[in-house]
Amino acid sequence: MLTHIIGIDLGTTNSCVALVDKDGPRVLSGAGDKRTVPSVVALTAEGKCIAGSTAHEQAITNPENTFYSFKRLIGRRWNSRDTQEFAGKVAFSVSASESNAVEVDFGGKKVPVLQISAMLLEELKSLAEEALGEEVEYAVVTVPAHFNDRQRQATRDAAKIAGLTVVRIINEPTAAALAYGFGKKLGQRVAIYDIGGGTFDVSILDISDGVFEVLATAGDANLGGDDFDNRIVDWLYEQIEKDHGVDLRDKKDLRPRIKQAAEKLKVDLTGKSEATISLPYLAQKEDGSYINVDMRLNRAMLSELVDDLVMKTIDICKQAMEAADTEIGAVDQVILIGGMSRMLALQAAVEDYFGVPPSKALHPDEAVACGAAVQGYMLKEGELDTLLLDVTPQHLGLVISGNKFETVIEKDTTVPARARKIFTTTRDNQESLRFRIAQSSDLSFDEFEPIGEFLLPNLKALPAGAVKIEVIFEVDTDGIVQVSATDKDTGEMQQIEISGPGEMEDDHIEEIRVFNRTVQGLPVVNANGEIVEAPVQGAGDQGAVAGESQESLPEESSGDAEDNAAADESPESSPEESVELEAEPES
Amino acid sequence: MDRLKQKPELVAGVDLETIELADEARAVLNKVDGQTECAQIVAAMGGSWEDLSSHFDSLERDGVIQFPVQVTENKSQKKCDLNQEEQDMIVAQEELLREGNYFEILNITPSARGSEIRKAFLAGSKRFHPDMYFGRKLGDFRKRMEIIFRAMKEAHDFLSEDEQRKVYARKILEEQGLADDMLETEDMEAQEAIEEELDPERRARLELIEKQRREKDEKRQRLEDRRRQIKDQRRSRVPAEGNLKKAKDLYEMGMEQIRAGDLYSAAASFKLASTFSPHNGEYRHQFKETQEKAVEQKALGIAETADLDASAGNPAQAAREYAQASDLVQKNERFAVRAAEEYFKVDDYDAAWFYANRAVKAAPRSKKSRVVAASVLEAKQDYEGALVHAEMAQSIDKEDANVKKMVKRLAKEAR
Repeated sequence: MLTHIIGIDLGTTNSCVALVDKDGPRVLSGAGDKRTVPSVVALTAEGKCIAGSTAHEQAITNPENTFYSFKRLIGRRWNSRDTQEFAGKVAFSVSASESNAVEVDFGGKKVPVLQISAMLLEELKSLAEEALGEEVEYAVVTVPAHFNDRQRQATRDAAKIAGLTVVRIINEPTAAALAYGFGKKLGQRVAIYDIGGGTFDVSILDISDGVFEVLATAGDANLGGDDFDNRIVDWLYEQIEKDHGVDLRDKKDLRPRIKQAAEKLKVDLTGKSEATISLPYLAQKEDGSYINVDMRLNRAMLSELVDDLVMKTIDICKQAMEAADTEIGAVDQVILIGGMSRMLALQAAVEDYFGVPPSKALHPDEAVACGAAVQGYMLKEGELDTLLLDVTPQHLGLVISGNKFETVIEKDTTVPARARKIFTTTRDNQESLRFRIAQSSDLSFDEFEPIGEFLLPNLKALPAGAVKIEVIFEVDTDGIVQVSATDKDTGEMQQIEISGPGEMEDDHIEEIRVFNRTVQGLPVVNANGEIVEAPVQGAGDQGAVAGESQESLPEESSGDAEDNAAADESPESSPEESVELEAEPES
Repeated sequence: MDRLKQKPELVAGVDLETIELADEARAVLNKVDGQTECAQIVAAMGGSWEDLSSHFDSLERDGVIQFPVQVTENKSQKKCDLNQEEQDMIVAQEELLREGNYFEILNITPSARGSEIRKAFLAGSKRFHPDMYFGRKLGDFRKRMEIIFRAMKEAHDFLSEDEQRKVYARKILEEQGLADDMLETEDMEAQEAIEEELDPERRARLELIEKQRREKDEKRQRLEDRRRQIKDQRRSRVPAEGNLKKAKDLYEMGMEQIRAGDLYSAAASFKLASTFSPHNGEYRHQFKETQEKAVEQKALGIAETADLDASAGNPAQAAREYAQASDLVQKNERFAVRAAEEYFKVDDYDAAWFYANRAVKAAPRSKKSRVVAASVLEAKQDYEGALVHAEMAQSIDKEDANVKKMVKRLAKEAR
């Protein structure tokens, strides 16, 4: 039997750990007013790694070695637009890894982003252990609903480095719904509006007879409190430029201070109609005089600064409602979570759209962790007569000729899910077919991300379109995707399993784990239970660490070695051209 | 897996005489009888496994011999923690999947509709979804449960489409009807009507549910229409640059007015601002908030005058003023209590009861409101009603001697 399964909300700005047992849910990360942990990791001048509150407190004096908002980079490709945009805004330095993932400069060493996440997770784990007085091994971890497979996998691996086994990854809004509905006899349709520090998600769920069925989810990976803050930050820069004639945008070291002031301003404006910002001696001008900032912002001005962001969230709500085939009046309850949901302008817009006043039954910062813990409890107990029916987070399919994405399993399909489609060849006498499996969050832009590929050899020499290949996609409740392709004529079959738990090599995880514990000043225990002496004190002296995560799938299909079977293909034709959807897919 | 320990068998339907084989392969084939292990065959031929194993492989590939798969099956069953009952349940449901229609898969009759279908699906999910057996070894039952769950989901989705369900159900009833009773081919709706005729109570209940559903739908529709209307209006009124500026100025003016203490004017400014810039939720919010505050301020002013009138011994005037204040801010317990008390003094018990009742609603756990309600009802000679409130007051403050006396007195009267 499993011991405790904790719930972890690994947030962009703040994180939280909770546990549910027969006495109900409780937060393990802190007590009193401070029950969340800032999602901040830092490397001190002494070469020690710190995470959480202590890291947050020293952010201003140590901007280049303080890492925040890194959830926005986890599992991302370096050359994606989102990464590039974000990289320009942070004070710490980020770069590309060999496999096109993102690395951060950690005291002169390049480490993968998930390694930073792991440091935070380790802190959360130890907080939970402190609160419970026993060791914790299992966790349900939440991610934004729009997170793709790579991001989920990277999160899983980060947890593994931190010494946690992730029994399930669930979406944040889903977790909130679990926190809301668990233990109540409900027959409701609910909308969860989740706006956190960096991400926005909305989910529509049906809760009845103890079954939580996710109907649809929609979200924006780059819309959250940070964006609202950045609007204020931009406004501040503008005002400073207007008042003092100095453009401070290039001064990266000032940014954390200005950002913190902007955050405070935003928080103040939820309680008051007007708030002031004061940044004495912010910077020195060329003539030696100081720039003292003293400004006033009121709610209406703030509303105006962020109006389009608010409207964007409502548009996403509409998408979700359409996907859930739900009419406005059918929503019984709207639940707001995430720190940003305290903003009155957002609450007004949500009420305006759904026609129901948003429920404030849940704590916006703790609900997600509690919901994750609820799922852990549901799974562990097994006999509570409650069940979560989750869905696939993205469209899954194949890349076909013309570099187009062909969906096989649609987004928001209940898992376990299975679907089949018939594909065929594009050229005469084709000997093999390369299947490139991909996921897509938005079909309208024909954007997709490859997640794996395999080759089906030994095809019969037939004219283009005559070979029939049955492709079957399966997704189980752990989110593991299995794809098989079978030649209907020859019975030749190939299959691949994508995103099994722990895709990263165990050795590699162990290596990173040891490094992380060393820089955190924690004892490293080896397999025999002996404490290994920490080899080096400072990260700067640390030998080669880092390395790649699972984020090393080839960007382009390599087209060599293993591709021998397709040797007769003309060199200029890319392998992906070889798959084509059969004109009349079998029902 | 160790091939040496396995017992190969002949594939049925293969003509062993006509296939072309090398001598050694033929010799191997002749020893295959489904009883003998590979190791024994190799030993009998006096050869080595290294030399002969390729023959087994090629014979298997050509479909002449096969290795029984039972070994693996046993293994997967051993790895399973499900008890016999649970396994039987799964096997029984698999039977339904093979033979049953969508209704049978969900364990419902073809007359089932809407919520019944959904309930059946949810109940089935809780029996067959693999998550319900989390942490236990499921072996091949995991895949089997997944198949069952997907089939139930498919049945649910299919039957949830009303038109589709009706046609499908009729077809099934027709098939069954042809088999045993021609009458069964009646129209589904008619049949449902007959069913309901048998049980008038059930029919009445169904009608009520149907009516409620219709009303809810209408309400939903109205809401949706209204929402759309508002949206359209807003959209057609895209605020011009000038209007935004005006709205901002008005808002600033409103803030000034708040600082000057003139809440009514401030509310008016915010209202105007929100008409110039309807997109800005803050203007509307500020208007609502300020208006509420303004009304509260006004009520407080009136109540102050009422306090003066009451202390000057003018209960009729004071009662009217407290009532006015209470009407403005109905949630305020003090205004309502004071209005009731003053009306009580001038023997206007109906008016007094109106405000006493309001006070109780505003603050059900307040001794004052309970006492005044009890007093007024006592004066109206409704002793039972009065006793209820007096007892409530006593439960709130057990020490109050006056309340105790009151309860005793009312209890006697009530009897």
